[in-house]
Amino acid sequence: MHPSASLVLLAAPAGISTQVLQVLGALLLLTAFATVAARHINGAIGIYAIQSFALAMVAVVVGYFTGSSDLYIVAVLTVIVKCGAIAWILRNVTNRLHLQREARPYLTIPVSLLICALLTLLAFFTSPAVVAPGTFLNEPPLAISIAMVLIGLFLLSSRRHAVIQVIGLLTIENGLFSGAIAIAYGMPLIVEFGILFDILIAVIVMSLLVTLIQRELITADTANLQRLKG
Amino acid sequence: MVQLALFQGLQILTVLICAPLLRGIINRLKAMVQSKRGPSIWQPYRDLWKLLRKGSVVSEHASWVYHAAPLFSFITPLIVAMLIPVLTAYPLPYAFMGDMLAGGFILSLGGFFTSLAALDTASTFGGMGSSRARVVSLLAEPVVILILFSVTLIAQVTIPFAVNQTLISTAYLFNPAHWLLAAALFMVILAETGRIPVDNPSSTFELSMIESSRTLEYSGQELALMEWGGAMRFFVLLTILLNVLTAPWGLAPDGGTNALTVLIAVVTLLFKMLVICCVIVVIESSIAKWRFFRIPEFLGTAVILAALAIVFFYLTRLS
Repeated sequence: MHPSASLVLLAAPAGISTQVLQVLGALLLLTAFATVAARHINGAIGIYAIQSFALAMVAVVVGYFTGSSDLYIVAVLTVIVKCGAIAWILRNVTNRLHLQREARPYLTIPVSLLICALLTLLAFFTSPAVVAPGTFLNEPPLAISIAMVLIGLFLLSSRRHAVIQVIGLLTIENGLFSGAIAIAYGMPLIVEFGILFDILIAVIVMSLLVTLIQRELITADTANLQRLKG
Repeated sequence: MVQLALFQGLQILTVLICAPLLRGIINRLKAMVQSKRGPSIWQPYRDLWKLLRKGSVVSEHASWVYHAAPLFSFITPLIVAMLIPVLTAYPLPYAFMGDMLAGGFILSLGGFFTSLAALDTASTFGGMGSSRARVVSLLAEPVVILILFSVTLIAQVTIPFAVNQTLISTAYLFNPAHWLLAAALFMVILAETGRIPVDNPSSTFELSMIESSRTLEYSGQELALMEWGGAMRFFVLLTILLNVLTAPWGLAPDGGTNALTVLIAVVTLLFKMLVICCVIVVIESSIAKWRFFRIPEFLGTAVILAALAIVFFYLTRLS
């Protein structure tokens, strides 16, 4: 395509695409907060599925406005692997557990939410330093993905229930995925394949691990694992 | 000038007359969701009419506060109705009497007097109710202030008539900040007017009541004023949500205001109210009342939404 033609293609729909991406970005961030606020594990898994669907929509919108068909395939794969397979596996594991919710969290939910709000502020203040100027999608998507990574890390470190920790890890992965779309309009298709396959295998292994923890310790509370120290 | 005064009066009359209807509609819809027939939507009017013809029994320890509270609870929503766009899209003469912050304070004055009156007769349930209601409004107040300041930040004015035009302009209609603020305000309204999940408005169990235990002592005409005032407060708050923050369409336009456009404004307002009533009925039918100590979680979520709205506002302005 002629360079100026592609420029026109990018310039014309920028207003609409930015607004749609803003709404989807808000949805991503809200679902990240909702996983922190969820009381029941099954609720958190459902929210994760919604988040992954919003991510697939981001891929579709960016794919539409940049004209790269790879992103459509990535979006379809995301829906199949994350909303379908991973959510199903996690639900299956959770339904077999005795403990369906976080029993005694280290931090109460309002405190966790406030900390996540601070983490989001941190992400929004640091992202302009990271982003390369002149990209088609400007700061908000990147800031949101950094915020999601931080919230995922927080979830991973502040919760005791093994399945919630898995969801924290998956939130980090979603954040990195959306960051890749925001900066580079997605990675090469083969890399995306690899990541999605990796994540699927990781979830299967982790769910086996959760089942084993449950069999050994009766609960899926990871705080009890400290006693295994030699 | 006479015409403007007439419209001002019509705004107040709309709030006065339509407010009990909301409660009737919600109760009827809720009964229909539960596969019951439910009372007629005009039932609140019949209740008010019945109460207005009855005498009242007053505790001998009651002071003037007890008798002043129903008047405050009845009048404050009517004053706020002058400040906000109920029917017209342009400011009426009294609209500049106060901004949104003043409206919030006037509304909370009514709540303050209701709490005082509940303490005045030293009844146990009244005291419990007013202490709980104070906790809820203590938690809700910072959220309201945060929301009002964010709205002011976006619109650069505090007069509700100008705010709504800014929020539905193309720059902000689909902006996440706008909708996050609307969601936060809706949550605060649910908390402030004692709806599920904060309080159960149809509860008859005194120990768990928050809002309604404050009016347990009242009877007859004073109870009618209290009930009517509570209904109008709910109506005014929802009008702020609908006509200022989310959907200010159908209001009578500047210059073309006549009987027909005012009628259209009333009908669209009632239609929007019906939609929001359906949302409330869905919420009230699908979740139970939360434990009292989980209310900070509910309002904390509203704070988070409002704070995220500010973040999104600055981001979208930068880009």
